[in-house]
Amino acid sequence: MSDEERSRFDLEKAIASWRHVHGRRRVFLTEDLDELERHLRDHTAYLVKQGERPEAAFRAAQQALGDVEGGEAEYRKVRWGKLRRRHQVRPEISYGIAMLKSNLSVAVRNVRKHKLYSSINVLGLTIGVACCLLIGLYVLHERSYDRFHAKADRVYRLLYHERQGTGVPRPAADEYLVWGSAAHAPLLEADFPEIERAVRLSGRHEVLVARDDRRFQEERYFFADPAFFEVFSFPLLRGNPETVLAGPRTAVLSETAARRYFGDADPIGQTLSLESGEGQGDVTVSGIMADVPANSHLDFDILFSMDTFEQRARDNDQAYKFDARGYADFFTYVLLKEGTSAEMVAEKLPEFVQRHYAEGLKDPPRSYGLALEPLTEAYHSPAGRRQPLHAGPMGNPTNLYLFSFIGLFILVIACFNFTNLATARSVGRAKEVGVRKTVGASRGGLIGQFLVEAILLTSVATVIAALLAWVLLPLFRTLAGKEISALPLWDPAMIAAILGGAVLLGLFAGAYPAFVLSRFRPSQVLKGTIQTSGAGLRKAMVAFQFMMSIALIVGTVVVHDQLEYLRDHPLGFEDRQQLVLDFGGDPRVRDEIEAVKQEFEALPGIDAASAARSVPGGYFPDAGSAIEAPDGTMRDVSLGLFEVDQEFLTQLGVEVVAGRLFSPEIATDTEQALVVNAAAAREMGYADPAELVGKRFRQWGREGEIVGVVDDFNFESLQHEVTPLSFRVSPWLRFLVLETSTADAAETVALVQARWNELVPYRPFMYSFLDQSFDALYRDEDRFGALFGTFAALAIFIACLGLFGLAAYSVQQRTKEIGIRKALGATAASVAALFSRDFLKLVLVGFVVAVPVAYLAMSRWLDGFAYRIDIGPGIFLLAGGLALLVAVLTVSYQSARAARLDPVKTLRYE
Amino acid sequence: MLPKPLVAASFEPLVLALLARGETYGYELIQRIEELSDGRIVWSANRLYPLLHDLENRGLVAAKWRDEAPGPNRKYYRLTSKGERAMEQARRDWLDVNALLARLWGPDLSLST
Repeated sequence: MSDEERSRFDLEKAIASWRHVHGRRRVFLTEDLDELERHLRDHTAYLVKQGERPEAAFRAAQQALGDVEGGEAEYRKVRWGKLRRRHQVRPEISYGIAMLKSNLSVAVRNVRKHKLYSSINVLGLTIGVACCLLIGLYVLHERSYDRFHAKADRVYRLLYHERQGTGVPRPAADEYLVWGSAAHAPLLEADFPEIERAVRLSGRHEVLVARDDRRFQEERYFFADPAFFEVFSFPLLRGNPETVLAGPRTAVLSETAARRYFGDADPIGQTLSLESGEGQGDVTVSGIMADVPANSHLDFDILFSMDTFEQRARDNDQAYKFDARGYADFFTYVLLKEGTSAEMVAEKLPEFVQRHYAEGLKDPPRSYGLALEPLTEAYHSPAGRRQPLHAGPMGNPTNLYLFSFIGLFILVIACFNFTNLATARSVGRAKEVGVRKTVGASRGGLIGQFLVEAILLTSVATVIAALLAWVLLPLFRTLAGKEISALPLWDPAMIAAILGGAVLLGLFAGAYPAFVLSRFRPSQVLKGTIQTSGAGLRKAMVAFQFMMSIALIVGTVVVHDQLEYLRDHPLGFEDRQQLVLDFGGDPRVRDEIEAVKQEFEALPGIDAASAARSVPGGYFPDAGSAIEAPDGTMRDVSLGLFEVDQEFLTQLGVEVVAGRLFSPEIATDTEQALVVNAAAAREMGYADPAELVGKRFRQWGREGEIVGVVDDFNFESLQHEVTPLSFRVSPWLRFLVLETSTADAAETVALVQARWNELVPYRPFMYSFLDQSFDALYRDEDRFGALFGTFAALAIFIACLGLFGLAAYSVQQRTKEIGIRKALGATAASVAALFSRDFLKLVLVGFVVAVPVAYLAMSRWLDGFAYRIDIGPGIFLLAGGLALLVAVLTVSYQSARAARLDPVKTLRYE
Repeated sequence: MLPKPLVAASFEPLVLALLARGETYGYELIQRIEELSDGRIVWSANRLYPLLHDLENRGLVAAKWRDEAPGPNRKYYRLTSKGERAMEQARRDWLDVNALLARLWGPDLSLST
């Protein structure tokens, strides 16, 4: 071969090679390549004419032409213009769609071929997304409270706080009170041009409402000012919103309440009778409203006009209920004018207080402040929680946060799972990649293929998850005890977000195998010499999954233990076998209380009977009291007030620490005696409670001596510390408490009920057992615990699915190694152990990280309880052990399979 | 080499001006401009050809393949009447700018109003 021939041969080959590289880029049309090639040849020829050697000339020309990437960028800018000019756009699009279809069919085929792993992957992700969706709906529901009111952004709730002394620091958020005075509203409306309306709500003390012979004890009602429907957007179905509460003695019923009293008859214009309480008397039904939606912090069934309450109060010399700053029985809401801000009003509130109430705050000196809280924050607000009366349901922000985190956790676990399994699987497909590349697949095409597969799986999983969430929603509603709306699921923005998320996850999970694998050189792959990099990342993800699962188990155990502790904790009085009958403070019963008690005591199975104004777990007003201090002066102190009859404390078996309990024998006990608890003694500065006996007291119109001190007992939920409490004998009682001693509670209740219907036929028989009522205090916590546990179990399940899949692939990867080991004499057990050890190390790492995280989080939650368990090492060991056990079981299946592999088979394919 | 922004800005008017002198192909355009500018302007093929295609898309130039052995055919470009009008406009714009600069900088580069 001559030199010339050799160089010409080089040139054509070089040009062909150059063209091949450029030709793979779709952006260059054939004619573009022709044009560039012509250019290349021209330039090369020119350089050769200048005296260059052909090869050098070509290289220089190629250099001058520029690199393929740069060219691609520039050509891409004009590509669509070219196609449009030649009317070739549609073929291009068809091409793209065809590529997508082909990718999809290959993807589907792949999924079918590896059914087990595909299902594990999809299952884990489906459960994770479904859980996340359900929790998301729950969170959305909780955050949607009160937003349905048209003027919600202008409505505010009035808060107040009151302290002894002046110059006190700013109160904390939870020290503000809500249930307060009626006096403010009219004054606010008059003094502030920014305030368009101020309305009050009162009520919710149990009253008996009757219509003919239908009689119900109602608690879910309000007395409401006439402007109620102007401020709040509760739909009024019948009646004029402006007048429906304006008249004297009118009532608006919800649809449910209307049905309850009137059946299908028309209630408008009919009368209902209030047989007790503030608005006693007949009322006329003036309107019907739709039932209050679930996400409202105001919970009621009936509205009575405020006038019903006010008129009667004023007529009966009780105007102080409406005029006194210190009388609390109202919730106040204000509607601000458009364009005004709450800050503007808030600035002027201190001056408002000074203007109207300065006199009453002087002696003894105290500070009193008002504040405005947006309506939309009322449900989650910490204000007024310790007060005995609430306007409706209250949210729990801590639990909400925890749930949000759990939802996120589960989603992350599921996504990690998916990614892990996808990447593990990709290693198994290395050979496929090698073959494809040899046959000429471009890197971009391969990447596209992997991504399409991943997105296919995530999309399928997401769609199934959404359906699953929808199907499980009713069950979830029951579990959570809330009317969670499914509407957000149908919101187009939400749907778009969910699908977008699915695509994103598919991209993320598919990206690793896509990019890494497509980079493999065919020769490497087919020989089997690729490194499986990224194993470290996969292991980290498994450890992370187990960390979260273990943290969730710890959380569940802590919640469960704490709830059990609350239920079993000795309360300090005899709470079992106490049958409580609620007669609503009805004066007809009250006046005959001694006779009634004797009637019940005569029944078999009833050992004793007493009565009280409240029961532990119920409502205790604060009574301003003055007690003689150790130094002889009378000191003001705020004590809870528990009004009882003489036998109540004895019957409950509270422990006496000093002095004595009330006695029917001692006449002065009815008016001039007070019993307090040890917390009160401490509050007064008495180190020895015995010193308190005999000291003087003044309280709400009574004076006398302290006759006894009882040991602290829990009269409120164990979330609260025992606060100072005082007891006095009073006729203003509401509950009968019967001590039973039979084993058959049902029989005793039946007996009591029969007797009740004879003695007190005009009142409904309402009974409860004291210990059950107490347990009911923790109903919210119980629900929380149940939900928490459910989601923790699901999280672990998903993590185990991932572990299962990974173990399976690990076995598959190491079949040869197993074969060799067995051939060399390893037992099945040792092979199984080898496998398990690797994975269990990861669980251990997860455990180590989970411990501090779970400890901190659960300590925070436990801070919400005055009486709480200690998070001991036992809980962590239990959680860790459980996780380990589950992991062992999961991995051992695969390890056992691995151990059983026949070395002959595995080593055959070399 | 002239600064990049200038090279980029002058790309289109220069191409139109060169094509006005007669039909030609890409490689020749690159060579001519390098010659005419004394090497201060060197266009890369990756930039020139897409630009020519863009001009073709916009109807300012028309292209035709001519058979030239050996190797693939050459794509020749010529100005259309629309292109001529565009060139006229570009010419006016550049001359305006040029006049303004000449006024500001003056013949002896001293500051003059």
